[in-house]
Amino acid sequence: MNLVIVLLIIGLLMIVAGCWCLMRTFHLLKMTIGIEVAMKAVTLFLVLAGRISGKIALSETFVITVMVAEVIVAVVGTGTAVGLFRKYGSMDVRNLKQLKG
Amino acid sequence: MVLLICVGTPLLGAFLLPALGHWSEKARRWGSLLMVLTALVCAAIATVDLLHGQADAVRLQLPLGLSMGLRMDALAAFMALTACTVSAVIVVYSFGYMKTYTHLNEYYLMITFFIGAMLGLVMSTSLLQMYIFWEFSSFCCWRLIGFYRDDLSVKRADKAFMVTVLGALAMLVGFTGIYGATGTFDLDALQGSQIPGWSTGLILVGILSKSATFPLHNWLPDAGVAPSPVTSLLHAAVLVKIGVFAYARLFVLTFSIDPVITVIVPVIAAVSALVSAGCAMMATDIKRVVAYSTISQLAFILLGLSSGSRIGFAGGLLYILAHSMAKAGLFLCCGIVEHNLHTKDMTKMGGLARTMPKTAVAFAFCALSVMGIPPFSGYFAKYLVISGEVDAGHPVIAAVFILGAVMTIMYLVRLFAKVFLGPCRNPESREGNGQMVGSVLTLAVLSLLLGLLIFLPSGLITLAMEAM
Amino acid sequence: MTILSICAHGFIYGPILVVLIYNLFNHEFARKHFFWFAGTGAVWQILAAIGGFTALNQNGQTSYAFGAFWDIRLAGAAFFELNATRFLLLLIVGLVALISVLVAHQTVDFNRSSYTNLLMILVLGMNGMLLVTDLFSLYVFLEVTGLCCFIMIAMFRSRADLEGSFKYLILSELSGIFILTAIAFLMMKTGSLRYADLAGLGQRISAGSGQLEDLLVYAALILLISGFAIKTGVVPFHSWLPDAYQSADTAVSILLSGAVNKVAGVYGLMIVMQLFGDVAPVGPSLAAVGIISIIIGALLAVRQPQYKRVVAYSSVSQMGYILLALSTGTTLGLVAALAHILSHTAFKSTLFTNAAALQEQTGTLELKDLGGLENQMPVTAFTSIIAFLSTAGIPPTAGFWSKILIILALWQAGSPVLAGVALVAGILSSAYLIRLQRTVFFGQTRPELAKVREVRGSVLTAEVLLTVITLGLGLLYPYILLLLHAGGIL
Repeated sequence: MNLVIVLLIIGLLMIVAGCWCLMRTFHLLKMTIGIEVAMKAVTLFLVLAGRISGKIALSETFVITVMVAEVIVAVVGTGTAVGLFRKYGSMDVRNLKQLKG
Repeated sequence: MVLLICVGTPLLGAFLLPALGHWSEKARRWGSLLMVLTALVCAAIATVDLLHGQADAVRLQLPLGLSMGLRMDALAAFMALTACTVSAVIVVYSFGYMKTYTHLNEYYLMITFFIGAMLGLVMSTSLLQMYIFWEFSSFCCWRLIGFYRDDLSVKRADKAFMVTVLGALAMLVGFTGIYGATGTFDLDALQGSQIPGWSTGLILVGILSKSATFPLHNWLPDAGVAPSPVTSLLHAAVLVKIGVFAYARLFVLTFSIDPVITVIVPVIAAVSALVSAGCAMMATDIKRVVAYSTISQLAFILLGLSSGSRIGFAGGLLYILAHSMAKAGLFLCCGIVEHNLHTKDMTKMGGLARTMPKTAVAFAFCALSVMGIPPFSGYFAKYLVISGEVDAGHPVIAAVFILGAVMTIMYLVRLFAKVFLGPCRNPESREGNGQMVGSVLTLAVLSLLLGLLIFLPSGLITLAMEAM
Repeated sequence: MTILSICAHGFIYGPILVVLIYNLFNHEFARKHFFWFAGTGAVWQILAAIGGFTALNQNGQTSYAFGAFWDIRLAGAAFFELNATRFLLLLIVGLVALISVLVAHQTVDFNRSSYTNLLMILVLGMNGMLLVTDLFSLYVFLEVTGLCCFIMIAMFRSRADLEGSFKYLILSELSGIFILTAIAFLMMKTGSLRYADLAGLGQRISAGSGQLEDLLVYAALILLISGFAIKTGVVPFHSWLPDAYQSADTAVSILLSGAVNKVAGVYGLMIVMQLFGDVAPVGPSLAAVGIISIIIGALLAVRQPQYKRVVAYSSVSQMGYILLALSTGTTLGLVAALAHILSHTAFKSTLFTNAAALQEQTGTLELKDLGGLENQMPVTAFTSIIAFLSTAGIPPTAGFWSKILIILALWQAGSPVLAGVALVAGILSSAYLIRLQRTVFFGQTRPELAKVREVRGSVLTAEVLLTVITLGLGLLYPYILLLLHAGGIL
């Protein structure tokens, strides 16, 4: 088992963990963290892609850009979560029942 | 050119009517009538050209085998003239009937637009264009049935719209089936081609839904909540004829179909005729009786067109003419009665012949024509249709239809007797105003005259038969 | 500098310039006059799209490449490219932005300056998505677009806004993760993410080879399709869409349904189809998602209690038609998809603009509180009927022609059953829209609504403008088909 496979599996596990977090927790911040964990796995994949295809420089650029993007997402996500906390006084997703069909 | 004017005037001119309505009530009415008459004159000019052996046509060729165009031929001329004449009379009638309601702008717009759509439909040269105008007419139907805007009307309007649009979509799937097999929508290019069986079936669904034939007939009696001129124009004289027209255009004149269709369709028609005649005998709402009678008579038309024999076809066409005049007249008479008594329940009426004699006479004439009593035009049509079916070798179906004809006589006599004869139960009722009575009398006299002068439309019908 | 290059650079610099200049003014002035700044940005986009396309056509080129910030001849440099398809989508972005500004003029009040800034950045993000030529840049601009949307939905800070925004954010980020993972997998195989290098990848891989990279490419395709499908909001990825559309201010809903889910979702799928359409499962999977979406979306729309939710589910259903057209992979399919995108923009924006009018005049969008408004609001009623006809695919509207093109494209590609189902599903569209008509406009006026007046000013302008587009396109389609034929496309 070479390094590539190991890293791939680790990345996949992190994505699964992130998605698991999204599905099983009812806390707004934890959900945001789940997204972030999965995002980290994706940066790992990008590094791996640079390693395999031999374009390290390109993949480094990508990774830095993705980092910036994910930070902004985290900020907006927590911002919304805080906004909801101010309205409801709790971070529980199960309170979100305004929109129903 | 004359065809473009003929279709374009009512179709586009209709949108001027609300503007005219802002300006003056009269301008709107006469504008509407003028547009219909223009269409009638143009159709007549094109017909004269046609009888002199020169068929007018306009055509626009598009990529992908789509094409658009207008063309005058015997069937189109026949339908256009019938539709325009009846519509003109009905527009005059609505001058009297539609006075006190709101939304009159919409009423005149939709009526005029509908006539344009009808003309466009009968002159279409491509399947897609037929579909376009078909949907126009469904749309007008929806707005007009819901004219009074109460919950019941709106519900019934939605029902009529959904049924006819479902039928039209099924038909469109059939059309695309034809397109898939041949690569074109153009009727000329499709002349005499074989089409897939399932396409035929789907198109038939469309036709049955539009012509309110069993099992898709339910929306028509329900549509009686509309104002009487609307019921008369859409649900008796013109709109429901679109379906049978499409049958004649597609399955008789264009495609070569499986002979089994000439058995299946008459059987459906026979069931439809009997079921609806039975309903007509039970109903107590005068407009429902006449509406069921329409369904029953449409079955006769469908029988004539689908029998596969030339006599039957001629009979079917003649039936369209006769039935349009007579049934429009019947609905308009019902409208006068309803307008006066503010009820549609015939158990509350009686002896109206004394208070409204002219209406009674007109009703009687139209009813006689629908029953098929000589010398009214309905007689010749009914005779030709049934003898055509015998000719095609299906005497049993013909016998069923004779039973249907007898039932027609029964329910119409019952209706006439309950409403106009017997002791006078509504002494306060009086004759409708001049425009209304004038138009019903016109239709009644036309029904009689067409019977006496039966040779007049025969030139066109012969021409149409030759195209078979 | 040619006209073409001015227009092309304008797509990038225009929105940036508007934002820069707008923020030079003090807050009160900016708030008062936001209409002119945002409007200029939108109109500039429309003019640039039309002018640029005309110039491109006159030069006889099919595409034009440029780099906004650097020389495109540098080795490995990312660059922008314009062609006819992208011009059409840019035009749609401009049009939707203009409509949104017209509506916002009446509906958005205290945070107008945030609205203007975000709108321009959103337009920039969408322009970027449409112009780029490699998958990674596509992702970056997708993220820009998405972020603007989250903030714009949440900007009004009510409970519903924040809730809709958070749901959208979670699902949207999920789609971002899918797309980025797919990008990484594709890069493992090719080492480059340019469209030009990725095209034809289908011939170079085979599932049976057992090589890790080839398997990963298949995984990447699944991830790409689901990622963009989430952004498009088709069944089974639709759960965020009605919530987001309902909670956002109507000016923002127009942007979301008119432009964002087409550019961020459908355009992405268009790219996937263009690059990997020759890999066997891509077309059929798009078709499957499309047909399910058409039917489920319409069925769900029938039962919704709120105006904007009905319209939102109708969007789900209509997106299905576009995917169905794309799934054919033929030129006619692409034309049909673009035609439907255009007509969908027109009619769906009309329906949302009507929602804005209703909300402004009656203060509610709950269907049970509305009824018989056609006497009070004749123009709104008329425009909504035209939009209804167009949605249901009834002539003479633009929607009819685009639906017919889709059906013909499906038939040509050899899937008549799909064509038949798609057509008959049109009855479901009629069903939910006729219910909308009955509960809102058609019928007797409720006494409590008797004093409602027709909306005035910019919302009315937007309604009329969109209806003119819908009807005009419907009547001009024969001519457009002739033009396409003359151009050798059909």
